[in-house]
Amino acid sequence: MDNKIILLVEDNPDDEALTKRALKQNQILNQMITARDGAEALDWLFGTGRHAGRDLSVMPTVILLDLKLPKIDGLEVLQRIRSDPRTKLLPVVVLTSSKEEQDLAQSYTLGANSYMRKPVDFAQFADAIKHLGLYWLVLNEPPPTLAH
Amino acid sequence: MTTVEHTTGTAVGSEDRRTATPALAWLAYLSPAAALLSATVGSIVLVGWTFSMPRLMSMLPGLVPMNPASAVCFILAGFSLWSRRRAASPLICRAGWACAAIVGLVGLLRLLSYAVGWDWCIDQVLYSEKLQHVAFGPNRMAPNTALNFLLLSAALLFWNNRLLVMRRIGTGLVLLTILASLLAIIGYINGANSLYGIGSFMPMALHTAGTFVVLSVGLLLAEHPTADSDIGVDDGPGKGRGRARRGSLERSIAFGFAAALFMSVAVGVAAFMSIARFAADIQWNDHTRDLLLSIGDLASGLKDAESGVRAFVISGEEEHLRHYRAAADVATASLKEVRAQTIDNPSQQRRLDDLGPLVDRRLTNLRFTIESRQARGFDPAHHAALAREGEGLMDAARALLAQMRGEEESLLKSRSASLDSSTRTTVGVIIGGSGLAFVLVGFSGFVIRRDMGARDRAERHVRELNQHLDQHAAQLEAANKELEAFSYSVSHDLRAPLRSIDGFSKAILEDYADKLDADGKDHLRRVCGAADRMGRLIDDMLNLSRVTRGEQRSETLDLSAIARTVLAELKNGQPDRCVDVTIDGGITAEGDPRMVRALLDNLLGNAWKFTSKRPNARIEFSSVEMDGQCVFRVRDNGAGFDMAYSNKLFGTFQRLHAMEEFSGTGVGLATVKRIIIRHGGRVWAEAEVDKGATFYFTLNSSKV
Repeated sequence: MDNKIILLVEDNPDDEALTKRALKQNQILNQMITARDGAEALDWLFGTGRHAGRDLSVMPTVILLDLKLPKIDGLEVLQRIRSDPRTKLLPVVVLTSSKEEQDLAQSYTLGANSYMRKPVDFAQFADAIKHLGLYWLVLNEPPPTLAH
Repeated sequence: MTTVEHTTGTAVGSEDRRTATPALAWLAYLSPAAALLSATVGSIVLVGWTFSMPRLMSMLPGLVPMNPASAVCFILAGFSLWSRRRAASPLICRAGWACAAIVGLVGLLRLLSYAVGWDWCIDQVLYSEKLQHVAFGPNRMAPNTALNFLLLSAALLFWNNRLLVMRRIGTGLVLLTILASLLAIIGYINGANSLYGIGSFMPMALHTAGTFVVLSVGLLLAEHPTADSDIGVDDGPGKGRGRARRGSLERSIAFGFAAALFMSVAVGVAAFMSIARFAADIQWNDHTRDLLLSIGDLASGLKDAESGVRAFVISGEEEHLRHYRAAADVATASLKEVRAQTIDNPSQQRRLDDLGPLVDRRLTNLRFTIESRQARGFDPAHHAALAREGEGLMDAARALLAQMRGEEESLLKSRSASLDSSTRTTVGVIIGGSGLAFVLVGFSGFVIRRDMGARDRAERHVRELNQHLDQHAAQLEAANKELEAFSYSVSHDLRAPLRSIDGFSKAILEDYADKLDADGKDHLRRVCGAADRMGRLIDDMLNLSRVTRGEQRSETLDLSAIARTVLAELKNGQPDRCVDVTIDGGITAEGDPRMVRALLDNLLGNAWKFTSKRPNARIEFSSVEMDGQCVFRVRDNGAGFDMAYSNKLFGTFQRLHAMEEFSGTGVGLATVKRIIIRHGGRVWAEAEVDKGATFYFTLNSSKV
C-alpha cells in the first residue's frame, strides 16, 4: 500500500489541506501528488512541461479530480487521460462541489470510475474521503498494467 | 379565515394598430357626405312642400315631385348612415338603428297597401291637401320607391351585424337598391317610362332615384365596424389572424365574383326579355304593314278590274279583258290574304264577313257586264244600269276597306310607339346593367383593396411580432444560459469556502480542544452550524432553480399514489411519529411527473413538519370541486400561520416560523409556486395559528 500514489487535482489549497487531513485521520498515509490545475496534472502524467523527464513508470493508483480547474478543466483532463494509452486505464474519481446533472453525465460519459460530491460538513467530508481511500487504495484491484 | 390567492397568467394588452391606407383615406369622407346629401335633398323637398314651391318639390321643372314621406325617409336614412361611422356613440348608434327601422316600416306599409289595393297610406299623412293638387297628382310614394326604402332599411340594419352572412345580404340589398334606382334614372334619360314607373302607379321621381344611388354608394363605402373581427389585427395569435384575414379576403373576392355573376345574369335575362319584346314588336309592326299592303292590293284589284271591264264595254277589245282577269285574281287573292292576316282580330274579321260578299257580288256584276257585252254588244242603257249597281257595291266595299285600313293604321301607330318604348327600355336595361356592373366591379375592387391593405398590415404586424418574439427568445435563452452558469458557479464556488470554514473549525476543535474553553468551543460549533445551514440554503436554492428547468412533460398522474409514496417516505424518516393520514383515492391530474412529485414532496413535507408538535397529528390529501374546477387540497392540523403574513408565504427564503421552532430554508413553497406556475395553475392557502393550514392548488392540464 505504501508505494501507491494518489494524484489530487485540486486548485483550492483549503480543500487540499482538508483532504490530506481526512486521509491522515483515517491512517491513509500514501504519497500524494497535488496538481493545482488541469495543465499541471497533464504535465505530470505525461512527463511534459515542468515535469519533463519524470519517470513515467510511476503512475497514480487513483486520480482525485476536481472539475472546476484553472487553465484546463477537469472534464478535459479526464478526456485526455482516457485518450492516451498510457493513462487510459487509470481509475479516476471525480471529486467536486457540483451536483449538476450535466457534470455527472459528462463525467461518466468520458469514463470516470466514480463521482463524489464534496459535502460542506467536514465530518461527512472526512467520512467520504476515508471510504474513497479505503476502496481505491485497499479494496480495489488496480488495472493490470499498473500492478507492481 | 381569509383566502390568499396566487394566480398566474398574464394580462395581454390589446392595442389598436390599424391605420387607414393613405391612398384610400379620402373615401372615408364619402359616406358622411352621402348621408348629408340625402338629408339635404329630403329637407329641400319638405321646404318645397311647406311653401308650395314645385321647383323644390321636383328639383327639375316638369318632373314628378318627391313625396313628402319619401323626403322624411331620406332625412332618417341619411342620419342612420351617418350613425354607422366608427366613432359614433352608443346612443347615436341606437338612434340610427331606430331611424333605419322607421324607414323600413314606411316602405313596408306602403308596399302592403299597394298589395291589398288601398290607396290611403302613410305617404298621405303629410300635406294631405297639397298632395292632390300638384303636377302628376295626386302624389303618392311610388311602389319601387317603397321597395327601395325597404331594401335600404334592411341593408342599414344588417350593416353592423355580427354575422358575416347578414352583412353580405345587406350588401346585396344595397346593390339591388342601386339597380332599381339606376334603371329609373336611365329610364328618365332615355324616356323609357317602364324603367321608372310600375304600371299605372305613381312613378319614382328622378331626384328620389338619384338620392337612393347616393345613399347606397355611401353605405357601400361605410366600413363595417364589426368587420374588424374578420380583418382585425388587434387580437388573437398571429397565425390564426393571418388565416382569418386570408379567409375574409377570399370571401370578399368570392362574394364580389358571385354578385358580379348574378348581376351579369340578371342584366342578360333583362336584356334578353327586352330584346325579345323588341323583336315581337318589330314583327307586329311588319305584320301590320303587310296587312295594309294587302288591303291596298284588294282595293286596287277591285278598281283595276272595274276599269278593265269599263274599257272592254266601250271598246270591245279582248286586251282589256286580260287586264280585268288579272286584277280580279289579285282582288280575290288579296281578300284571302287579308282574312288570313287578320285571323286574330275579330273586328276586322267581322268587316271581312261583310266585305267578302260585297267583293263577290261586285266581281259577279262585272262578269255579267262582260257577258252581256259579248252576247248583245254595247247596250248603253243596260250597261249604265249594271255600272250603277256596281258603283253602289264598290262604295260599300271602299267604306269597309277604309275602316279596315284605319284600324290597322291606328294599330300601326300604337305598335310603333310600343316599338319605340321597347327600344328605349332595351337600351336602358343594357346601359343600366352595365353601369351597375361597373359600380359592382368598382366596389369589389375597393373592398378587395381594403381587405388586402388590412391583410398586408396584419402580416407586417405578425412579422414584427415574430421578430420581437425571436429577439425575446434569444434574450431569454441568453438569460437562461447566464443563470445556469451562475448556479453552476454558485454550487461549486460558494460551497468550497463553507467547507473550509467548517473543516478548519472542526480541525481547531479536534486539534486544540485542550486550549479552548467552553465558550470558545461553543463559538466554533456555531460557526460550523452556520456553515452547514448555508450549505443547505445553497442546495435548496439550486433545487429551486433546477426543479422547473428542463423539458416539461405531460402525463396523467395518479396524485393519490404519489401522495402515499411521499408520506410513506416521510414516515420511514421518522418511524416513531404517529400521524393520522387520509388520502382520497383516484385523484388524477395531467402534469410533469418530476415536478408534481417535488410539489407534493414540499406540501406534504410541510404538513409533516408543522404537525410534528401535535400529539394527534392529522394530514389529509383530497380533491374538491370549486367553480367547476378540480382543486387539490393538502390539509393539516399543525402549527398553521397568521394570515396577516400570507403575502410572504410563497416568497423565496421567506419563513413564518422561528428557526428554533421549525427548521427550513424558506424555499419549499417558493418551489411549489414555481411548479404551479409552470403548470398554469393556481395555489393559495387558508390557515389559522395553531389550528392548521390548508393548501389548495390546481393544475391546468390544458397549459401543460
